[in-house]
Amino acid sequence: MGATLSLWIGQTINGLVLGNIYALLAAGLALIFGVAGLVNFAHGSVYMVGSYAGWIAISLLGWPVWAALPAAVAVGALLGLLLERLAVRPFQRAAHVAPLLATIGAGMILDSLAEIVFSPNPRSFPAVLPDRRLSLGIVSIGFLDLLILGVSIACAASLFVLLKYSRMGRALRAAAQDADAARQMGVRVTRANAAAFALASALGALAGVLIGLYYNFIIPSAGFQAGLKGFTACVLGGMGSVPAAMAGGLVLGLGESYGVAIFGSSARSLIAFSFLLAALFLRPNGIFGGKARQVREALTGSFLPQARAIKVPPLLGAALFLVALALPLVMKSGYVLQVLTGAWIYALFALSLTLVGGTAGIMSLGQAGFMAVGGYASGLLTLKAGWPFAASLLSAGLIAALVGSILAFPALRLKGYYISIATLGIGEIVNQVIVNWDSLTQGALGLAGIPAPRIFGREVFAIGDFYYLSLGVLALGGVAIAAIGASPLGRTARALREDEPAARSLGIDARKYKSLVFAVGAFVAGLAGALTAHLYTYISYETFGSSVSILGLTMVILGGLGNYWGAVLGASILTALPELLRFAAAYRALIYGLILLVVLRFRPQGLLGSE
Amino acid sequence: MGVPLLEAKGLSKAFGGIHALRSLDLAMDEGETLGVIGPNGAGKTTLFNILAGSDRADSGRISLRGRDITRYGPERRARAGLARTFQHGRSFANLSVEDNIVLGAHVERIAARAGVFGGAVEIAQALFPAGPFAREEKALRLRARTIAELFGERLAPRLGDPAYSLSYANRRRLEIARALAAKPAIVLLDEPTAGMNPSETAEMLDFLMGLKADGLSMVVIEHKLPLVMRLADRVLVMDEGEKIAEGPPGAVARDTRVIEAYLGPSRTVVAAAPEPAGSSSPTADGGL
Amino acid sequence: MAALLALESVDSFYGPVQVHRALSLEVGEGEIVCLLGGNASGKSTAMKVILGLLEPRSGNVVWEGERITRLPTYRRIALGMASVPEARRIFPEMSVEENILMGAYVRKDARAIRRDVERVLELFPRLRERFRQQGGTLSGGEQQMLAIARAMMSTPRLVCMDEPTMGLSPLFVERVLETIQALNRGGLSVFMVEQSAQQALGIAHRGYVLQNGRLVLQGSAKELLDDPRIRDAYLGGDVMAGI
Repeated sequence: MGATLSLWIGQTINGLVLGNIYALLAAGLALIFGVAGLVNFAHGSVYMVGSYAGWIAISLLGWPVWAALPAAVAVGALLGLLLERLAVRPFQRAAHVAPLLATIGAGMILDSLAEIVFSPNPRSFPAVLPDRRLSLGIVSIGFLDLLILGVSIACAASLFVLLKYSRMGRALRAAAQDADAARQMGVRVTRANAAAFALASALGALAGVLIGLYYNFIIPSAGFQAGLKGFTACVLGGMGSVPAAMAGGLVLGLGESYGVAIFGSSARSLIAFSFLLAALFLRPNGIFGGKARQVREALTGSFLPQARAIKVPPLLGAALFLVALALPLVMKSGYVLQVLTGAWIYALFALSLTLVGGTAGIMSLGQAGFMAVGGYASGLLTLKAGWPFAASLLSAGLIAALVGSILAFPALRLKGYYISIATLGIGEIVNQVIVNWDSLTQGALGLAGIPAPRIFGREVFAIGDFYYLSLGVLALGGVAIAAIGASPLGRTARALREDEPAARSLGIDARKYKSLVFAVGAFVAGLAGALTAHLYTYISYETFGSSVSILGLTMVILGGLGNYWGAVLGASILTALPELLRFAAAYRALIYGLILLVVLRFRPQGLLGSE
Repeated sequence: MGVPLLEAKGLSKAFGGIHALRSLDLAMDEGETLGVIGPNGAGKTTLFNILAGSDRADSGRISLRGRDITRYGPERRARAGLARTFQHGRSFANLSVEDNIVLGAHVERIAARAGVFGGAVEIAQALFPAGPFAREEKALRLRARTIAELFGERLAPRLGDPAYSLSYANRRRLEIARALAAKPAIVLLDEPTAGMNPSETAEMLDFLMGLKADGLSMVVIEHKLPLVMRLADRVLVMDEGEKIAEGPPGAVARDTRVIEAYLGPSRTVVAAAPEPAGSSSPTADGGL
Repeated sequence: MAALLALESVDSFYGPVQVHRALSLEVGEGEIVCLLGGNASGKSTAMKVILGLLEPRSGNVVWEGERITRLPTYRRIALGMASVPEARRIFPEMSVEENILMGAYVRKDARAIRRDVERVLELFPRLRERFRQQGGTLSGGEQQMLAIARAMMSTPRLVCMDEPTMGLSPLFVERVLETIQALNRGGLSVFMVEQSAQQALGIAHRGYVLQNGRLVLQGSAKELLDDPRIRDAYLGGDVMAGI
């Protein structure tokens, strides 16, 4: 009895400590959302940079903790200003989706820079704090716990004082409540945005150092997860209000800790993202959020009006296809064929993204999750149940479509940024389910020994054969998607993208059509995942991570959002390029991020123009 | 006479503490044109949104041909035969003129009528666009052309052009064309001539008179009283969420309450402000 | 008499729609000038052009003889303009006190600001009662008072008011108009956009009437009040033909 109680109190303390760190992250996100009106997808990366700044201060420079913390804060603030200036301000005038994608690109760049400079491996954070524990009856609380609690409470208090009593704080609050009216009082709203970014990033960086101290290790890939946890906390508590978001952070921390005590530590992320989806579907305004705020219409509606796409005439398309067919006869290099096979699979994935994101206007940030579903479905059906490939391929698509519809349907009535956060959460949940459902998926071990496909009695084993298989599926998928795009369904989807209220006034059921297009996209992504599984014969939850989703988006933006040939072109370029340049993985991500930002800034309609 | 085409009773709506609509009644018959006028903030757009289904009244009932549509969202109202346009003209900018109009007839498509199976029908139509599907598309395109030709040379030669390339006035015409595509029982027009110059306004008036002659029932929000006087059979005047007058246009235009609503109550000039040196003489600069 | 503020032949657009056609007007020092017109006449947009929230496609905004057409809003506020926006636009989740202080945002002299808060509370005793209440909980009339008080805090030379009497009860309308007159007697210049012509012309020195973005009438308040063509301008008739 005493043991259980002390366990629960211990978990409560854990939950509060973690919760405070989430609160710091969430506060920053809520501040930026309130003042600048956008969701900062680079926030997690800022957190990660902060953790490394702390590491440099403590490990390399030998500074004491009380000096390292302010240093990280300063680094964070500067990074925030830089982010605002380079990845936000140039895009504020551009339509809707641009700031979202720009911050995603910025995050990618930061993450890959960290990997390049610090290596992608975990790095231990020196334990510089005394190991003392304070005994409070049946429990003990560590010095570190107290430090974290103390620092975060101090930060929350300072933030509160700043926002409530200082001139800048008033300006920030005014800009958040009514930017136009604030402007008419003489507030420089661009400066307010920059200040919000600086403050938010300072808090985020601080959270990074504290986590480093807490867990004793840091790693560049932590940024993405941290960002998601921050979103979860924000959505749970209430996106537009800093105190509500912070409360959400505490709830998340406690929820995770109690959940982990019940379900085991591997369930931590699954619990967190289930909270995210539950909050989005049930109480999008958050537990503590008040009446519905003016939601900025961010992610539906055309990316770019007045875009003239470059059309690929059918004859040219057929010719290109024939060239692709003939290639293996001319080029015997297995390596080239392998790269191109990968390109065809990515092109299929990109097609699914451009259909959903371009034609229907729904920015799906977790599309790789559907690849995962398809890959595992086909892999398991052939490996464990002995199904023939054709059936497993088709099932992979159908299962992915089913999962997609079920998960997305509640999300599609959300507005603006919430849909994209939901898709991000969906992608992550799929991965977490895969990791945790050991009995089905072999969890973290991954699925090995996936059999080669058998088509028309012939085993597809040689790379040349796989090349044709992928090309064939791509061609069929491409033709089908193009047919959909040109059909009344495509027309209706575009109408919803252009102006949903107007479309609804014509009798168009928005949710039904958006779900339909989303399901088709998930189907195609599922096919791509299945091909991947059989090509590599081994997949794990890491094969289809968030970086794949974002790479897909980059391909689509590069080619032109909504442009089907553009998706193929973008996929080909971004698959072939790193091979040609033989860059290490981290450099590739850096280049992708840079390409995304450059295209968004200088040619947002992409190479072939958006449709 | 029979059942009125559109009837609303006791519509009320409050936003926070502001009463946008106070127990408003209205009724109109088939073939009638009802004009709705009133100063800024009178509640006209709120009324419109509630009639169109994009907003919900706090209390009251709406019926269309006797059918209670109070709980219907905008999609169901479209299926029930109600069409609307928006205040600043919301056509689908990146879609062609033809596509815009065709979309207006959405409710008549096989896929739209297939209920639960609509999704499957849409996919089937996309992948196998033959037979009845092809015929349907052909018929819709023909109808789009016919409707476009109602506007003479304005829209018909531009069927393939994207809507964003049209002039503002043409885009407004396009929106009306789109609203007519499903042969609605009633059309709600929100300031159809807003932003148009006098000649465009006159052209639109002629066009709407033509529609009226063909028997179309319309509710029109408008500010240009001469237009309303010629187009509307009856006029409903709103101020501060209430109906302050209703009747034939001529009578309404002369109603002192209406004039006061627009120009404000006559006010005794209290301690007239001192005039600065060199006040100008009255000028009427140009005409319209 | 040199104008404090002038618009010179302004053409402005909202996207593809032309809002103003060759609009020219001026406000002299110490004047109350009103801009009248029906819906969609372009009155509110004129305010946006003056305040720098919308840049005209051609024409100039002139302040004391200097062209400020491209000057950003915060610089215009610093020059001595203040704004009472349409529908008040007070900050709903800030207290009355904080709203008033926001009006003084461009000022740094803390003691003088505190003094002016006192002054403003004397002018609007109702606000003193509600000093700590959240702005969003005030009634429409009180919010209007707050918006005016807020605008006064930057010690402006010109206040731009966008439909200050809209949605107010007759009692508050009287109050607001009297307040404007009182402030003007103290030396404040006022540029007022109003829907309600009679009210505005009752306190103004001069007026302009817009129809479809074009000036169709202008003159002293008294002259305009007596002019029957105003009704036509509002009700969409042909001002020349007088329907």
